[in-house]
This record gives sequence, C-alpha cells and structure tokens, in this order.
Amino acid sequence: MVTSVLAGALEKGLVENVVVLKKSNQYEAVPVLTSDVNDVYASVGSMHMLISNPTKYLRQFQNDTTIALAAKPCDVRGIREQQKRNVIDGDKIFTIGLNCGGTMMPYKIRKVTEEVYGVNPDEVRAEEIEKGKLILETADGEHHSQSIDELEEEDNGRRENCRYCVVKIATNADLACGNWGVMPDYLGKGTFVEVMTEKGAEFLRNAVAGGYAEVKEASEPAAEARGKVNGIMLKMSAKTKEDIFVPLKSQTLQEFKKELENCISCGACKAVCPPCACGPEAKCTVFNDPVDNYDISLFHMIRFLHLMDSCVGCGQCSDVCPADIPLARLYRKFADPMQDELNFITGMDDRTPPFFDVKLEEVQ
Amino acid sequence: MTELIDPKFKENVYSTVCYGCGFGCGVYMRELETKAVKTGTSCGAPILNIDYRKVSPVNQGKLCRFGVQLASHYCPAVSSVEGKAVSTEEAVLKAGEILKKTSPSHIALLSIGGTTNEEHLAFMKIGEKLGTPANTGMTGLFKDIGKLHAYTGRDATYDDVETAKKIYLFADPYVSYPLLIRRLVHAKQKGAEIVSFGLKELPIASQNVILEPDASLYDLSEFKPDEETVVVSDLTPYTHAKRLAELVELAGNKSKFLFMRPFMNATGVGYLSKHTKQQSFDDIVSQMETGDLKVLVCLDSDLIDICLNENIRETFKNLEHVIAISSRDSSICGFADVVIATEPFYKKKGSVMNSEGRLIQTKAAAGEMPQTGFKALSDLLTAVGGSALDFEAVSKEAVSMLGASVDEYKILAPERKSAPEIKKISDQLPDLKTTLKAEGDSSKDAIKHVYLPTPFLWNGVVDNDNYIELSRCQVKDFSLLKGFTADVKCDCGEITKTTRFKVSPMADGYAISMRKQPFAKAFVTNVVISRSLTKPNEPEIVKECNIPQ
Repeated sequence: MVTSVLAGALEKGLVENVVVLKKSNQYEAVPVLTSDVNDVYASVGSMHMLISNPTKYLRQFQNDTTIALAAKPCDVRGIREQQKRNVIDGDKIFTIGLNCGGTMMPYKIRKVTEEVYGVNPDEVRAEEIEKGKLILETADGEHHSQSIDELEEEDNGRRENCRYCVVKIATNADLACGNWGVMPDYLGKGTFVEVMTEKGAEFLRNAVAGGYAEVKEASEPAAEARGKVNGIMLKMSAKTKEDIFVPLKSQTLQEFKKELENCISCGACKAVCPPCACGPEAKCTVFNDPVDNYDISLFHMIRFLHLMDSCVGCGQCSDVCPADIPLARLYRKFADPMQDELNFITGMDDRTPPFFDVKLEEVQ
Repeated sequence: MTELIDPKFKENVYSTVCYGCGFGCGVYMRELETKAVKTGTSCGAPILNIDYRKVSPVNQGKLCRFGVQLASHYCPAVSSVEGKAVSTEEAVLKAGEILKKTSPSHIALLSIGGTTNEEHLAFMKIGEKLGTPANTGMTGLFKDIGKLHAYTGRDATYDDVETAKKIYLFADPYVSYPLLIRRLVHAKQKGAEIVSFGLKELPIASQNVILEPDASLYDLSEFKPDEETVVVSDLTPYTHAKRLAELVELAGNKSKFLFMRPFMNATGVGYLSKHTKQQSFDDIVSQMETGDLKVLVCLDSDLIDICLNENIRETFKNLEHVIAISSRDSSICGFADVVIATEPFYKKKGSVMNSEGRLIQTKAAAGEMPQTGFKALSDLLTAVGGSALDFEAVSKEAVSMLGASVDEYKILAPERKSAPEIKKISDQLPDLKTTLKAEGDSSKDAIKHVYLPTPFLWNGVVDNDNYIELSRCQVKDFSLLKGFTADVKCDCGEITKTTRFKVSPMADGYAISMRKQPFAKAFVTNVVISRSLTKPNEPEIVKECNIPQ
C-alpha cells in the first residue's frame, strides 16, 4: 500500500519527487530523492535496521520541490516540529507514517546476527518483528528467530529510546499505515491505513483511482486488534521508562558532570537533532566557549533546556555520539516532566511549542 | 547506472572514509547537484552533506568534530600550470615533461597516505619507472629502530582495546584520535584499568602519569606492561625513535600494541611501500634546504600543512618545480607550478587501510565514480615511458601486497613471522633531552610549548582552538586574568602573539597548542608568557619584530 500510494502520487503528479531508501545490503541503505517510479518500486520496505534522518535530509532541498516520503513516527514528529519553525514547508511535504515498534542499530544487529543467531549476516535477505520475536530470513528461505526481550536483556535489541517511545502509530502523518490490525485473510497483502488529513485522503483517493491500490473499510475487530497491539507496545514502553529513568530531582550535578565528561565537543548531537532549527549561530554554540572551565559545558546545559519542549525522543543524538553518552536519556530526563505536565507530545499536532508561548513579562 | 534521479536534483551518495586521521571512520558523502537550491559553496564545490554510516565496523556512524564538519573541508583543486588553469591532461603532460628531464636523484615523490591504495600503488609505479621511490615520510623513524620496526605493525585492533584488562595510553584520544574514546569507555565499563602517560590529565584514565616529552620510559615506575596490556601510541612525523624503541623494548615481548596514524591511509601506504628505499620528511626538507632536491611531487600530501615551521614556505622556493597531485585545494596547491587536480577523495574508488589494519572499500551508494585521479596517474606513468594501468589489476595487486581481507568486517593480518629478538638499541639513539632541547630563550621565566596534534592541525583546517592551554599554577604564576589574554613570546624572541588561554589539568612548565602558532616552529620550543593588556574580543595580534610596525 505504501509503495502504491507513493508511486501513484509521483506518476499522477501530486508530488515531483519521492524519498526512497536505496539499499546496499540488509543493514545499509541511504535515502535518495527520485522522480522515477521504478526507484519507488525498488525501494526498501521494512526499516527496522535502517535508521535514516529524513527531517535533516529534507532540509537540504529548501522547499524547492514537492516531496512524498514514508517515515517512522519520530521522523514525522521531527518534520512537524521543523514546520512549526518555518524550516520545512508543510504544503510541500506528504508523509506516510509507518507503525514502529522500534529500530536497531545497524552495526550492532549485524554483530548479533553473527554471534547470537549464528547466521552469516551477508546471507540475511529479510527481517520482521512478529509476536515479540525478531525473525531473520536467510537466502535459503530459512527463518531464524530470537525473543526481543532476551536480546534486550543483553542490550542487543532495539535502540534504548525506542524501548520507551510513546508513539508507535504515526497518527501525526497524512496517512498512518502498518500491518497491525490486518486480519488473517489479508496478511501479507493488506495494510491497515488510517487517514489523518485531507491531504492523506487525496493521496489515497489518487492511488485508488489510478488502480495502484484497493481499499476496504476496516472492520471493528481489525481496528480493535490494531489498538490492542499499540496498547501492548505502549505498556512495554511505560515499563521500560520506569526501569531506565531515575527521577531528575534525585540526581546531582556531579552525576550529570560524570555522564558528560567524555564529550569531545563534536557537535554531532545538535547537527542530527530533528527539531533543532537554530543553525550554526545557536545559543548553545555561541555561548559555549572552549576556553571556559565550567563544570558542565554550556552547550549541553542550553540544549537540555532548549529540548525540554521540543525533544521528540528519536535517539539520533545517542546514535551519533562518539563518546557513547546516553544523550537521548539525558534530554528526556528534562523533557518528560515538562511535556507530561503540559500534556504536550512534541510533533504530534500543530500546537505551538510551550517555550514559544512564554511572554518575557510573564517570566519577569 | 541509469539516470533515475530528477535532473532538478541529482543526488550522488558515496560510502567513503573520513580523511581526518588514520582511524578509518566510515561516512557517507551526499553530493547534491542542482540549480534549484539557492545556496552553494564559494569554491565551486557541489552542495555536500554528510550522512552517518551506522553499519561501519570502525565507528558505527559516529564521527568526531572534524568528521562532523567533513563536508565543509572539501574545496576542489583546479588543474594548473604556472598558475594558469589548464585541463588535467595538459597538467599531466607538463608534469611528465618536467620529470623526464630531471635526474631521478633530484626528484622526491611523497605520498603520506592521503589517498587510496590504488592511487598510491600507481604512484609507486611512476617512481619505479623514474628510478626513485615513493616516500611515505616515516621511513627515517623506522630505519633508526631497525628490527624493532616489526613491532609497530598490525597487532591490536579497536575491539582488543575494548576487551583489554589494562590500557596504556601514549596519545591523547580526546583530540588526536577522538573515536578511540568510546572504545575506552567500553573497556572501562568492563573493568579495564586505563593509565595515561602524557602532559595532560585525561578524564577517561583511572591513573594519569605525567610523562614529559624528553623523559625516558626506563625511569617511569608506573610503566609496567604485561600480557594483559594493550599499549596505544601513535606514529607521526614527530615521533622520536628513542621513545618508540623504549616502548618496544619494555613492552614488545609482553603486550599488544595499537599504533595510531595521523594520516588516513598511512598504514596502507606504509605496507605497500615497505620494501623500497625511502627518505624521511627530514631528509626531504634537508635536501630542499640545500638545493639538492629540484622537483617535489606530492600525491595528496601537503608538506606545508604537516610542517610546524611556517618557514617551509620559504624553503619551497629552493625547488625548481613542485607538482601537486591533489584532490582538494590545500596549501601546497598555492606553491605548485603544476597542479593535477583529481576528484575529491569521497568520489575515489578503491581502498584504504586504517590504523588497526582493516581494509575499507570506498564506493558509490548512488552515483558514479569518475576515477580521474587514477587515470591521471596512469597517464603520468605513460608520459614518463611506462604502460597504462588497469584499475582492477592494480587494486588486486594492492590487496595482495597488503595481505588483507576485502571484507571490511574481517581484519586479516598476514601470518606473523616469529618476532625478532628485542635487543636494546634505545641507549644508542640520540638522547631525547638533546633532541628535544628547546631552542631560544632559556631564561628562568621560559616554559616549554608543546604541540598536541589534531586532525585539524595535520590537514591545515582552522578550528575554534585559537588558544594555549596552561596549568592553573602556571596561570597564577604569570598573573593571567580570566577573560583576558596572554602574550606569548617565541624562542627566537622575534615573534609575540597575544592569545587566549585555557586552564587545563596538566603539567606545570608547559603550554600546549592544538593549532600552528607563529611563536613555535618545532614540536617543543621555549616560550615566555606574560599578561597582556588586550581586552577580550579584540582581534588576534601577532607582532613580528623584523617587520616594520
């Protein structure tokens, strides 16, 4: 369905380009912009092992073209936050959100394939997460599975931020798609689609009218099944959150200092941060002077505060940190209390970020 | 590849290696060719962005400060002859003419590891045809330590660092090889003891031992390597044979070594060139000074950037010809009378070998690889009387010479011959106290200025490191004021620079810089520091006494 909608949108001129993942192997793919429908049909389906950063990727086109793409919920959250900050023009982007139970770091899962599954990583042709198991299909057609819980006990499963993520269905996209709720008769050939916007409806109508896809109204049991899977996933996230997070107020400055002591000031965490729209002259970089001897760099302090109302919990910062500082966890420590109190889930709707609403006179 | 991408936005993506140091970090370079997007680069490069290559066995997508900014470090070179832009073919013909009419004894070829193994091997073949070796610059060091050289080869890997029980650090990973940090973090989490030997205290170390540049390891009671130790050091143009010999003598029979390299493919070119008779950096510079060297040919190797003494620019004037075969517009291109411009490194097809001995292929993920560099070298070989080269054959030959696996996930070290017996030679080598004797002002107020090289320094790229580092006691002794600047006077007494300073946990009696300073023209120099009255935010002031003020 996702491929069909994208192909239809491109061929019928609803968008000029589509972002596709060009695959080198099971663990490696790069996003590439294309206007050729063959590229869309050849693009990668599942993305559990392929973590891209579409928000930052889209910025380079500077709103000079219309683009459609499929993305995970956290990616769509980043795109929506960039829209609020006038960096990405929402009228020029069409998003298909994909259900996401979590993603895995490509190198780590490659190693796990070899060491835990006992499978040659180059032999893996497909992967799927089903009923709590990560299933790898090898070239000989064999299926190899491991319990995700067991993998995660050894820190071998999903990325940490995915384990406590609170958005599993991308209801913030124009269309929210996935196989949760697909009833047995349609397994492997059907997709559960929730139309979230008028634009989403238009793209879906286009796909149906062009013969790219067929639609059938979802039955009540199908919708219930989808909600049930989502509920289980969210419950697991809540449990992980309890296990991982030490309340902020019980932590000392010394502990934060210790967490950040190996920072090499590479700036990668800011460079990849989907909601960050500040550019090189941001407060966190301008106020941070390498000759300063503060206990904790102002760069991090400013970012902790800045991201309280904008962190989408995507984990891109932790992924790229060369000192393996658990940055996403640190940002969430600051962001969760505030976002919970204001009932604000970043990137899920068009609400103005809370900091934008603060009037200076109110603070004074 | 068929033309699949909208001509409005043509995207090329390359799976390449960061050229900042020899760590071998995998990275994607994304090249956007478009007329639609309003911004561009001043030097005519296409719009570049990096993408994090999270499947890389070396860095798993993580990059240091240099790597994160990699896209901004590429400024394309332009082929030229005597300053006039020409086609690459014309530049190659001119270079061929120069080389043919010059005696091989007056030609030096330099390739430090700034490009692929394939291009280096092609360069070596040009040397063979001319009758002069392709120099990597490190041979002088290895000549001095004789058979102990065998211990500087492929040994410990980055994974070995992570599982080591004890790690001895002789290089500062935070600034020199930043991607080592996470390996050390993992090792520490597993209980490793990390001992750092150097001038600065490192947060990652469980023990920091002050090791002065001229000290002998034999006098260091804390240096007790054993079978469970991995010794991490580096081999740079400023590594001293005596220190290296002592390291091998004391640890060679027991511990594993990981020798980091400052240049991307220094390990690869080192192995490819190991059987040739080469000259060191010092040999080459000495011959330039005496005028014995007439033609210097550099393959992605910038002697000006590497050399700490800016007077090297004057020394270049002694040469009759400088030929730069370069993938970017680095300092040497401004001095070369022939520039053979090749494609940027990220577009080069081939392989590089990182410091742990891993062979990494550079290739296109989407787009084409023009191979202009390899073709230019092949054409140059033809121009000096050789035969044209076939890329695949040269690539195969390189892999065979390196004895490496083409699978980047496997490190295949060649079967180890029995290690040579370690005979003590360090006592026959020049004493470090004499070799590193800081010249110039030796008044009681003088302290030693030492360089702490970073990828920015080696590659002539400016970073926000325009300051010196001093210990807290030293700052007090000089009565320096927070937020103000310090005047640093050079060893020759002729240059004073007003600079910012940073208080660091480090040895007293030293000042450290990470960027080239006009007052320090050698690795260790004497400097005199005093409080300056310049207010913060005033422009940097460099006074040269021999220039009329």
